[in-house]
Amino acid sequence: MRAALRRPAGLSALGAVALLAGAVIVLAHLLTGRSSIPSAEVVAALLGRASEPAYTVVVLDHRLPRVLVGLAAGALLAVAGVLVQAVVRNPLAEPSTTGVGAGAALAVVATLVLAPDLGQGGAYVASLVGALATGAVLWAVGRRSFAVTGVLLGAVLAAVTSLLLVVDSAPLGTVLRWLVGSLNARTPTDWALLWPWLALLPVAWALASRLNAWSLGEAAAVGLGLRPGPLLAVVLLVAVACAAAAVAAAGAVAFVGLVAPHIGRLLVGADHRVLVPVAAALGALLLSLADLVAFSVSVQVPGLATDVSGVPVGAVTALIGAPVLVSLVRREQRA
Amino acid sequence: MTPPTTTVLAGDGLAAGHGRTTVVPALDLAVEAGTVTALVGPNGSGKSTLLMTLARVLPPRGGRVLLDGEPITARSSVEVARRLGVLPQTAVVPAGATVREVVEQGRYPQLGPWAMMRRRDDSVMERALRLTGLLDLADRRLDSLSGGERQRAWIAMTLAQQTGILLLDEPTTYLDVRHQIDLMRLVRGLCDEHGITVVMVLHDLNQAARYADRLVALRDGTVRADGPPTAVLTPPVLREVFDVDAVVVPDPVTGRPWFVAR
Repeated sequence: MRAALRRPAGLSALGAVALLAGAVIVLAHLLTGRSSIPSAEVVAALLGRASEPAYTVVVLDHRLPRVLVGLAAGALLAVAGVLVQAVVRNPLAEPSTTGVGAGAALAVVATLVLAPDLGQGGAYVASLVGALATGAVLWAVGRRSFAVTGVLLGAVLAAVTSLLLVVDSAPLGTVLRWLVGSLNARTPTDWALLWPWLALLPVAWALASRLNAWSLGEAAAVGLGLRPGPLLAVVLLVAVACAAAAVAAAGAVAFVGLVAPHIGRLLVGADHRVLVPVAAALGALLLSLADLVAFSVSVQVPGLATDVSGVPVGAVTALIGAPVLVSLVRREQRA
Repeated sequence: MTPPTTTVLAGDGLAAGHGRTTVVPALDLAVEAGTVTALVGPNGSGKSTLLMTLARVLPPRGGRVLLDGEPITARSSVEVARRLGVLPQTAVVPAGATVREVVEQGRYPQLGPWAMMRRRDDSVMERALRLTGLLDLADRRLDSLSGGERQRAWIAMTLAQQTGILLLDEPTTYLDVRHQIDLMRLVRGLCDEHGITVVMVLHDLNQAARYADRLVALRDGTVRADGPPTAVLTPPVLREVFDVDAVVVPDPVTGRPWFVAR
């Protein structure tokens, strides 16, 4: 199967399937929700011709941003995963290996504890700054053994976060979104803050041929003329920025950054020129699909108050992602 | 009358090592164009460390590496990679990569990162696959192949670099006898027909004596003997460098020195 998918025709077919799946998922997102809107009205709302203003608000200000943020954050997480895995040449690395998610969570908690008045906007900026600062610390402290350093950094930051929450548990509800990852209650502002970061995806893709050479090991890569220092700096910067943007928009969603590259490798192989875009598409589909599940679960839970805003998508990705990963790793070993 | 020679690669007071340990304290070595040089010596003698330092994979701990008479650091790494190909021992098999995808990487220095964004399958790769006998295995996954087949894939990648100088670190490792002979003949042919300069680390002394123009015997990071096989593969050198008591006789096919342990 993989040999066939590596050929251009196979890749076009794969792209067509991905587009179709994406269209179905987007449609499902737009059509489902707590308030039931006739499908004709959803289409009308998209075209700006809904019969009721409330429909337009629900579709354009709630459902559309939610699915768009899910797609974009999923793609960014997956690409961050590919890049981090490429740097350490370990397919079990993922965006959280950099500690970036933990840094974002700590920054958000600290902001909410110290300055609760800053609200959502402040939390967004804090998570972004926290994530990027963690990346900078990682580079300064442990660029040579960065997987170990990143994991340790993440553990320390998470411990500090827990400590802060023990001292002041008021922000726990808000911060859960960053700790677990959630796409509930996304607004057009969230989308507006996230989409410019999608420019990182072509940048990551442009690194693909260098990543292919790097994947042969440092000695072979130097032999081919790569300079490890500058390459790793750029790749890590792009990876951290991708992860930071995704985490700021959707929180530290687990497993998408790990599973999407894995499935990608299973489908098209290890060639980063193909893997980067394929993993991006898979990450987008996986996160928005998981969000659909998260949303459906929350609607179907009986006996709960109507104001339940839904299961966080991060819980779904972790619950589904862990067994999927185990089966993928076992399949990889058999292949 | 010896023809005039050109030094293409040289260590000038070169000190080499890993991390904090210095393995080679200070060494001068000049490699002439169009020759095959074999670095021999016991384990830990510094031959691989020396080779990787000459290849600018390891930074020198002192002294300089000269490529075509100029410090190797004067050229960008990718320019060096167009002149000098390296076969390291520590190459990593990327998960799921095929032989062709690995050999393709050898085209990186010539084509650059932007041209390499397009899939390559050119005559240079074809030739490298053919010379290493890998045409039939080209689309197999590297991690499904034997150690010897993988080793040939790495050699093919190095050949696809099309460089005038090849530095090979234990190229015959993992190869069966037949493929060892094929590889040594390939190396000899590259040198004799294309004027390619080869420096390689070899463990098999008889193989080194048969296919190399020059043997450099190292022990404890210093050169203990250096010259044509007849001058280096001798009982006194074998005793001093390897602690081996041996008889050296002319090999029955080529008449080159051939050693048998006593």
